[in-house]
Amino acid sequence: MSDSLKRHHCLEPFSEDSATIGSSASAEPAIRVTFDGHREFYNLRGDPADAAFTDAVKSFTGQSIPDKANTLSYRECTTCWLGPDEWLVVYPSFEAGRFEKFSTELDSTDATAVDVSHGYIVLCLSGDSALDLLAKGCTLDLHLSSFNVGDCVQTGIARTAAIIANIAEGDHYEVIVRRTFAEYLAIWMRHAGAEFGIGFD
Amino acid sequence: MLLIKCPWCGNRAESEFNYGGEAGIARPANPDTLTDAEWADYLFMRKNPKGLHQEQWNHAQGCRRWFNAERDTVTYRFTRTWRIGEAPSSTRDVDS
Amino acid sequence: MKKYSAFGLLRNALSYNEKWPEAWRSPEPKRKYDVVIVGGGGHGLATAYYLAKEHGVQNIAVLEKGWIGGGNTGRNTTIVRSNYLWTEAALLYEKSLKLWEDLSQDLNYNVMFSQRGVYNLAHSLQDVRDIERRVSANRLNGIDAEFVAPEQLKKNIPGLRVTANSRYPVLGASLQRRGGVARHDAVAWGYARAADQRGVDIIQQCEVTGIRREGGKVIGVDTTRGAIAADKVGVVVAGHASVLADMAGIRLPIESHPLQAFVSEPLKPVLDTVVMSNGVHGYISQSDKGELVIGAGIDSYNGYGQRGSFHTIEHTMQAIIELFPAFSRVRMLRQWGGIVDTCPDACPIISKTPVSGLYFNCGWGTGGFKATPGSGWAFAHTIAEDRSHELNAAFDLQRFTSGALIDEHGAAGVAH
Ligand SMILES: Cc1cc2nc3c(=O)[nH]c(=O)nc-3n(C[C@H](O)[C@H](O)[C@H](O)COP(=O)(O)OP(=O)(O)OC[C@H]3O[C@@H](n4cnc5c(N)ncnc54)[C@H](O)[C@@H]3O)c2cc1C
Ligand SMILES: [Zn+2]
Repeated sequence: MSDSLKRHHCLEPFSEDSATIGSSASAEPAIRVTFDGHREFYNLRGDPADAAFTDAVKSFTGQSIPDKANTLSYRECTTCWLGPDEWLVVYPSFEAGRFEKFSTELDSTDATAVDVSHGYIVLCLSGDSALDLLAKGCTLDLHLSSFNVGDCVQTGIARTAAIIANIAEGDHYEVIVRRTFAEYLAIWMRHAGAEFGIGFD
Repeated sequence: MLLIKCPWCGNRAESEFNYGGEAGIARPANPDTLTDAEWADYLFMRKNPKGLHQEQWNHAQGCRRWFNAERDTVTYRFTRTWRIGEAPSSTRDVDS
Repeated sequence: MKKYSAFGLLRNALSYNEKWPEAWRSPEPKRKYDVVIVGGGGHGLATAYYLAKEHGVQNIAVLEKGWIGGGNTGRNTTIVRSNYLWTEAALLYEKSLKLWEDLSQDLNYNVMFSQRGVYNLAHSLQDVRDIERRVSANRLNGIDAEFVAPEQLKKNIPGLRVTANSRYPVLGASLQRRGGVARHDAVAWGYARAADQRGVDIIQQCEVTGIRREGGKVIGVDTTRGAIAADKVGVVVAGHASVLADMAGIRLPIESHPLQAFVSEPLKPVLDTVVMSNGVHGYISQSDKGELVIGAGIDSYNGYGQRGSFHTIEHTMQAIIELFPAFSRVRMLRQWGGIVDTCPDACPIISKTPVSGLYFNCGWGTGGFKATPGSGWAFAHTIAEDRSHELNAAFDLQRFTSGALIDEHGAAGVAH
């Protein structure tokens, strides 16, 4: 059974051979990157005006779906707004049977959920210069005045389509990308982050 | 680089978008009754104006929605953008 | 008008080059012409020249809203080749290439046509197959073409990064040795001077603002310098084709896009050929002045602004540096844009129109410079005889109705 095997992700080899770059070994680098390849992702499509749909999601996830563009709601899981009828539900870890339960929940509605867990990986960035690094690669204004906790934006970072989720106070950001682009983006971060000092775990 | 106002996400850089050409070209309701010339007109002929142009954009690296825009093809300045299926605002609604 | 010669060069040098006669007149427009050509780019001037030379038309004007050659002619990156895939296109471009080979002699004007070869790179197995197919098709049409393997490419183009393990590996290339580059301004000026010598009136600062018709027939044009009557009107205005078509109530399958190009600071000779890549989207050659001449793909949106977006430039530079890593330190000197008239099948329209006596030549998009002589030659025939020559019969506007498109996206891909 695959559930009993150790789960691996595509950036493991990358973290194994990447030391801290651009700052002395003893000092804490200005950017820290950890890879989280073991989350669950559900792509959700439905009509936000349809109470049957929104109630079903709420009763399952324990939170309302965000209806404001480019925001997220966060409790046991994170629900990111992707479009006027589309969301990404992210659970912090895998739980056998959860997705099946979720889709059964939606059976009686016109909505759909698709398990896209194998498509995504998360690069968690923290540190003083984390936003400066992201700003180097994308065209968005990431200043506090326009990007705050609870915001999530889809954009291009160094050409890679990505979602940047601002989920916690302090300089913590999650960059959700397709697995096939993840290594490229990590390499880009290694280069682009060198001027600030960057370390990968 | 153009600054484009996605009707869902707000102002974003052009590099997040794909261009979709002239807007409002209706698919013929009864294709089998069309003459060859009418087909050619539908498939290929374009207004291509020098001046205000109503066109389609897709927010590809964002919310991935298609929407309509009106833009001047000489100054490249947008005058308005609006969601598919809705009417454009009567005044300029883009501040770029 | 004096014939240019080595002796003339010497004589004028002695008078400090201050006594050169003007190369063409600037006459006042007459009230009426037999043929009015709208657009004083290379194509328009060539059309007038061949109308006078090949068809004996006496009374011709070329009307140009700005200055001759100030449109795409003076903005393009001058790649000349004829290695198109389909027979119709290949023969038209090959006619043009043959005219290029004698053009300096014919015009008594040095157009600096340099047959330094044109390479089109393959970056994937599919590219290799497509290129081999095109090479074979070219040879069947009597057009010189060869496939060059990576080992040979390394020797021929030392600066090119030919590795199998890069992001876009170079797996081979087509080479047309007779392809090359020419001097863009000289083409406009050479045709202008030669046309003027045959009596063509070249009228600059004269914008056409209306096309006069009567009973389904053209009778003249309105211009910023007054109305001008004409029996026939040939429109060859590149990016403005739709604007002129609109004046005559005709719809065209054309969309106008910005197309950008750049040159670097001058370098010593480093690249003695032309390298193009559809895969990474860029192409490069070195001018006689030493500047690297670099071109891009079109900007995606319709635009008449003669400028494009910065990310397009960035993309092109990335492509060039991918191919020639050594150029990463070269500084760019100038950047500009033209307005190209793209057509759904990446092929031109040289055609009669529903209005009798009105002819359109457009849709050359990103790759019409190479066609300047052939386009003018075929358009002149179409206007003079009121029917297409067999070389341009397939390029009629009717093909969009009949469905007989000539899909050259493969060979025109990144274009040029
Ligand atoms: C950046 C760039 C790079 C290119 N690179 C290549 C290349 O490497 N190889 C290649 O083969 N092709 C290339 N091309 C394409 C090529 O330049 C064109 O296809 C070709 O020059 C078109 O020729 P033309 O003489 O018809 O156009 P133009 O030189 O644009 O002439 C049209 C003229 O019409 C005039 N006009 C417009 N409206 C009116 C009016 N109402 N009244 C009077 N006059 C009017 C304009 O002012 C203009 O001078 C490139 C184009 C660009 C922009
Ligand atoms: Zn959007």
